[in-house]
Amino acid sequence: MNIKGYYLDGKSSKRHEANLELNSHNGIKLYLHGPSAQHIGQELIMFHLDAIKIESRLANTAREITLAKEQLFISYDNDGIDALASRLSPKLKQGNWLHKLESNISAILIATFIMIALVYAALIYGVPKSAHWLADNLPNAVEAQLSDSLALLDHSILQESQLSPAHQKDLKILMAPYYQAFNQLNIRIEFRSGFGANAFALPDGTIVFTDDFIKLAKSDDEILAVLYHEIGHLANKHMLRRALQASLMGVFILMVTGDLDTLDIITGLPSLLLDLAYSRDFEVEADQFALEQMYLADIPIDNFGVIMRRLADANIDDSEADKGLFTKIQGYLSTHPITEDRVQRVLDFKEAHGIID
Amino acid sequence: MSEPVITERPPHFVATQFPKKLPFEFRGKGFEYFKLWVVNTLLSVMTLGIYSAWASVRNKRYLYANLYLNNSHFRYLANPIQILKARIIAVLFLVIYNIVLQTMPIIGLVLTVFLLISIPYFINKSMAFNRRMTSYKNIQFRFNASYKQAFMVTLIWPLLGLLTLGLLYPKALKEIHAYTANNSAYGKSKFYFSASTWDYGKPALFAAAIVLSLGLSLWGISLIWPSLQFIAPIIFVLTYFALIIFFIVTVNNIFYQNLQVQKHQFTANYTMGGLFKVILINTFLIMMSLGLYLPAAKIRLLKYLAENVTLNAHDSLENFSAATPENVSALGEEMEQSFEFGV
Repeated sequence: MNIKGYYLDGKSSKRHEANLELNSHNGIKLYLHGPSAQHIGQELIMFHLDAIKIESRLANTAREITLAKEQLFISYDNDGIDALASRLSPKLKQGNWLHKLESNISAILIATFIMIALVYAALIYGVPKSAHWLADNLPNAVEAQLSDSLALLDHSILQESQLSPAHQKDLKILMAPYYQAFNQLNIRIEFRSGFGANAFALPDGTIVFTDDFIKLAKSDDEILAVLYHEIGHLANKHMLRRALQASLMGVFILMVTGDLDTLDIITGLPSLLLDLAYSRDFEVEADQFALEQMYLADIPIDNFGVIMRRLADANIDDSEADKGLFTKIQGYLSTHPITEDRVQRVLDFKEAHGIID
Repeated sequence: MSEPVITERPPHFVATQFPKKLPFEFRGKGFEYFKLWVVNTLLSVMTLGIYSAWASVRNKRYLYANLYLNNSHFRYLANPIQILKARIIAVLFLVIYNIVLQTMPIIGLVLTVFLLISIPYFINKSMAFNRRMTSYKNIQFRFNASYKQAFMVTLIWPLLGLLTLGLLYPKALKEIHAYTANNSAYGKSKFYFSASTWDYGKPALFAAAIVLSLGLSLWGISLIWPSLQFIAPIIFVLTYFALIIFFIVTVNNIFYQNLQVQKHQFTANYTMGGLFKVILINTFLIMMSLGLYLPAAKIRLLKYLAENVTLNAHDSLENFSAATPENVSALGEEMEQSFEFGV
């Protein structure tokens, strides 16, 4: 048995061509030679079994044998070294089961299928479900930290509402009875201008309607539909859950990939897309909530689809591109569901609750 | 399976002329790495993360062993048990810290200050660990920096960069690079870093000028043709990605171009197009394969990153010698990973 490789003494970066053979005293002998060791000529070093440590085999990478703690013999003859290890001592063959597993095609196939199932389950169910559970069980102290965000928005993208104080008061009086049932959410209605035709809920319970939205709404019922949608976000703690999902996803990616340093440029975009998908799920949840509440409050639920469509039309000016592939892509890239889906949800809801026009 | 790749050097080798360009080479293969990765990741998940210490050592061993310079490869030396211990301590600390922060805010605040003060210490430890666990030709790398140096680089310079609205950010980056390079050594030979702040300032000014003129012209366009307003967000996103790539490419090129060990200098020629192509292909294939392409994507990225760095050898690479061994702990590295701080 003769294994070809090279030798490094651990003191200098000088590399010596070398051959390794078994010796007669249950150890090995190493011949150093080659042009790079000319001044030494053909040197012979002996190592006893106790001084030999063979690294576990890893794919087809160069195999290292550590000799007397700091010296190194390196060879690509993995099979030769495996044979040497079994001749010397069974102890030296540690970790070889891993290489067998890693090069066994059926083990790899099984592992691949389990991984696909696991990743799918974790991202589709695990992350959202555990974020939901956490959001419901977190102490209130955490949520309190999330408040005061309106003050920040007031200084950046929002301005004071142009609606007359009387109009604002009328609207608040209109809405008050409808959110009474959700006292524990500390709901407070605010009006602002700027940010297009829009309405949004902040985690501390503030629901903001923009002037453009109030102008866009053609009836009180339409405003109430959107109010319920926003309450749906609050009641389901969507802001907190989204933040939790982002961190859980980080932990999950760290666990699967093993490190973050090189991977954030690779995983960045896909996880952004996943975040958008999660946020669409929240919109669906809020829609569902709104439809149920409207049904309970005896508001004609068609108003929901009508105002959502008008909102979408007002905010995106692409009536002609609204069909075909573009809409599909938009669906994947957008935080909000496509309007068609929303209208369909209204129809489904009507069917499920036996509402006939 | 076993093909001896080591070839006898030709007799005329001795007569080789210096300086000689020696490119780094990455011989890892996507599918080969996938096999390791999928088996080891599954074992990690099945053992609820305990095996992850072994998995990450094995993955890193593969990646390091495939990085070649002058036909010799690098090695990753960390011991999984050591990593597991440090990981457990770091995670325990993270959990305790979060519980204290929720339930006892005052003590939590004290703990936060304590953590902030200890960040430079852990950064030093983490750098030392990673360097010491890397070896090339059986000589380990080392890292040795004072608390003060790490303190400046992790807290003061980034803060100054922030307070001056980015004006001092090029200086901060230069200091960070100088800290990483000047405190590193290969065996007994220290690395030297010779970049000036202006090297970083120039590209920063260039990028700022581009962004500013782009912003202004977009604003102008939206005034003249309001119907074209919808392209603004698209251009904004594209510019953002282009800036990130510009940043990675430029900063890494500057880093290597100014790095030296003994008489040997490094050069890097990363290009925006090259890196963009790698990221585009990787992102596309990862999405198409529902994430299964991740390990192969990592190989493609590392191959690009490695193969665009060259060492200009001014002498034989055989004149390095090892330093005396010291013990290093993995705690710094694991604290850094758990608390997500880092240089």
